[in-house]
Amino acid sequence: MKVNVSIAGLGVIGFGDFSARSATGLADEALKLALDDCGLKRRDVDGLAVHIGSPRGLDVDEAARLLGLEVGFVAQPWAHGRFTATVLQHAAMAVGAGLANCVACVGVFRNSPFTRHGTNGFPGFDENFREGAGPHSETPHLGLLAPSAGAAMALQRYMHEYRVDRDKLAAVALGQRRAAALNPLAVKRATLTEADYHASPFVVEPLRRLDCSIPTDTAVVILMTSTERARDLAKRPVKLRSFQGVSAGVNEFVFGVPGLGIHQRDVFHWQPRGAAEPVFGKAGVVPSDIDTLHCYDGFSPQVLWTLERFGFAPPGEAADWVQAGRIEIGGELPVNTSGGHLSEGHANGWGHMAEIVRQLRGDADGRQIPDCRLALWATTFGDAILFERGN
Amino acid sequence: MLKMAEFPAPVESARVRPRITPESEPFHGGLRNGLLRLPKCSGCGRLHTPPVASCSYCCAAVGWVECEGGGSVHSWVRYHRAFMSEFEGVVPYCVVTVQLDEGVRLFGRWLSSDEPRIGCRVQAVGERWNDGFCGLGFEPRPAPI
Repeated sequence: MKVNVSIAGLGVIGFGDFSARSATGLADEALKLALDDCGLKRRDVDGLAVHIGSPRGLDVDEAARLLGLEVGFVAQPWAHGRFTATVLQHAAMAVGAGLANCVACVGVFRNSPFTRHGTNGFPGFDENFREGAGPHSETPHLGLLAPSAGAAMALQRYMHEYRVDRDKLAAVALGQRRAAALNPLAVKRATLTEADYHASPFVVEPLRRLDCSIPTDTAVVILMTSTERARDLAKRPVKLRSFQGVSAGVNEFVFGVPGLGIHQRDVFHWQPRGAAEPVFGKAGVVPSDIDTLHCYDGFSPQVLWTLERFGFAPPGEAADWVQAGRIEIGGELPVNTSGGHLSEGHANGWGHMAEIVRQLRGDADGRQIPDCRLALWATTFGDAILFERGN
Repeated sequence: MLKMAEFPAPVESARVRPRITPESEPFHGGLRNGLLRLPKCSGCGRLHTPPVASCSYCCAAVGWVECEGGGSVHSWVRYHRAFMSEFEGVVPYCVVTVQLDEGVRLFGRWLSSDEPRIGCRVQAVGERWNDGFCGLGFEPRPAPI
């Protein structure tokens, strides 16, 4: 199915500690901002996709009622960060298939009650006791606790397999912090030095605290409609040019790539599809056409593995590839220009989506990438959306 | 029979124990009795972990087999913090992912004071908590004499 769908409106509340506020209040405020942003009214919204969590918030039914919406299409993926692009994809497919004219995608996450990665205690963390070990494979009775463990296990194997210098990961955390310094919404803006990075304690070794994201709260509303309709609204449309879904199976793991992840078994030397990933082919573009990459960065090595999975860097070479500002604003491929989860704050991917919209509209102020036309969302777990500046 | 070790802190396992399902009971029950039991596919012969209801590859029924528990370290991590208070008495501690000779990768606590090394030979060990619950651990395997 070819969709001709665009993002028309954007509303962002964040980032910070909103744990005392309700999901309803946050969603309502972000929805107002998104409607005002493009000139639509609540009665124009006839589809609703919600992604509200940590703690669980509103289901679509309550959300529609409390937000004053009358809708005939709903979607509600599990409120976990790996489904953020899935929310937008469902909305785009609904508009493309004629199920709705305008879908409000509502992301509300209140992560700040989570203790910082690396502090004692993670009481009642939902993911600890999931059947089949859950998405991160936490297994409390074996001491495998906290999401960082899976990324740390994958990183250790990666460093061994490709003889990667551990210290080169600093380029990710430091680079994203330099971007966050230009983002007034970011929760961490203070400059980091190499010395700060090396003084950062190991949490689950080989991951340092500065390799781990900063839990934060946000509400983001993205309004999706047909590109034709979006052109008549107040802001420049941001088109969804192509996309592909999350990969799942015996050799996939959320915080690694095949061959590195927990519970994988068959893969020893993985060859990524790279430029052959469908998101490129469907749009007739190659990785070097991309102006900015935004990727799920719960942990800094995920940036390296996304670069390899999607063909920006050869397997095993991303740690070298990212040096010398290559992934920073002004570099060859600016990555996570808002500061991402590592510095803007962990908002389950919604902050990244908002930043993609700003960059393609030309609204990113001091972080603006000149003539930014193509932005890619891509992840270690295989999903992707190619966004294009509309006219 | 696996060698059995004691979890080195006087704490109960109640808060960390997994929910036992029909698919996982033989694994956990096996460890209690010093056996590493894993589901094996009756069709393609693959072993599975975590336990499955039918084979992830060919969908055939699975039965249970006893494993020797020898393998090599595939990867490892070291905890510098206790994320649950049960582990406060054992930090820093390591968890290893092991490539079993029998074909699967699985992980367990590292029961040695030496740092794990990727590729080093290891042997599965049962680790018994204060209250009888048993987890899976690994220790370096002595070189054959």
